[in-house]
Amino acid sequence: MPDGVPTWEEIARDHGRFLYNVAYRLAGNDADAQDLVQEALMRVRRGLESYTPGSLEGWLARIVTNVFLDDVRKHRRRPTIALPEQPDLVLPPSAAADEVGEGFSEEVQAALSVLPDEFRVAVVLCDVVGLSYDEISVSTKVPVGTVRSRIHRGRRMLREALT
Amino acid sequence: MNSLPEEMLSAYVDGECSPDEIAEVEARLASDPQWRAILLEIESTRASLRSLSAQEPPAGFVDGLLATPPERSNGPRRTGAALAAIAAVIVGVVLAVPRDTGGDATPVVATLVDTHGATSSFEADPVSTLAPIVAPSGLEP
Repeated sequence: MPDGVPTWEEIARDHGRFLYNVAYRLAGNDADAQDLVQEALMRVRRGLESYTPGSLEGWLARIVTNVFLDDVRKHRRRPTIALPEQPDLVLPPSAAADEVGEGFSEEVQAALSVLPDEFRVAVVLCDVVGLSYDEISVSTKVPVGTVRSRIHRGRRMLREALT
Repeated sequence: MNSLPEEMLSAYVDGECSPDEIAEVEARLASDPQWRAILLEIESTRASLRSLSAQEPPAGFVDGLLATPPERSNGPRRTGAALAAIAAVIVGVVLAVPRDTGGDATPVVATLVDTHGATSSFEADPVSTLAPIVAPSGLEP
């Protein structure tokens, strides 16, 4: 393996939890998240030969996201909701994240799970993984303007779901 | 200024605006209380997402990954294993069904007559034991 390129075992050991977290935020449940990680690691194993050292977690997030989107295209397992074209509703302020209780993560996850897939992907890659809009654009193969719109509308829908 | 899309607010809080866009957003925020309210919402939601702790996998998950690398496992995904199980059941059913042995399908006539004749009689004939049909009396000419 070239210098700077981790082995498959190193990725599974050191980044398995990261992959699982991203997969769980996308899929919304443990069973699907485990499936996504296993499929992603298979693609990682095949893709390591062509991997160029850089943002490893960005590369891994892109792979697990593509696995998720491929699954969505095949199965359409998750419900989607109709979106307003111009969500201009002003919502009341919410408690700050550090003011909420133990169950808040579950509430946020539940709200994430009802977002349409393409909006959930954009929000998760931005706010959970921490990718830039350009990186999300490359990962999801949509223009940066579309990424920007999906992130904003996804956050607005999430906010509505949480209130 | 009114043509500035609202989604610029998310780009603004994410540091994804150009200097010109930042100036436009800040000018709009200075004059539009509704935009200021939306900005607070976006910041709050963004903070909520970013404060999520990492979802931990079940105990032993990573060890399991290392123990069964994808290409050495029997099936990388549970769905694949399920499909394999279904295929095995179908193959089993097909193998269990009696197959045509390739012989002549026409019965041997003598055997058929003997067998049928030995088990048939007029007494046992369900048609022969039906009640006779009688015309209703009121309809007689």
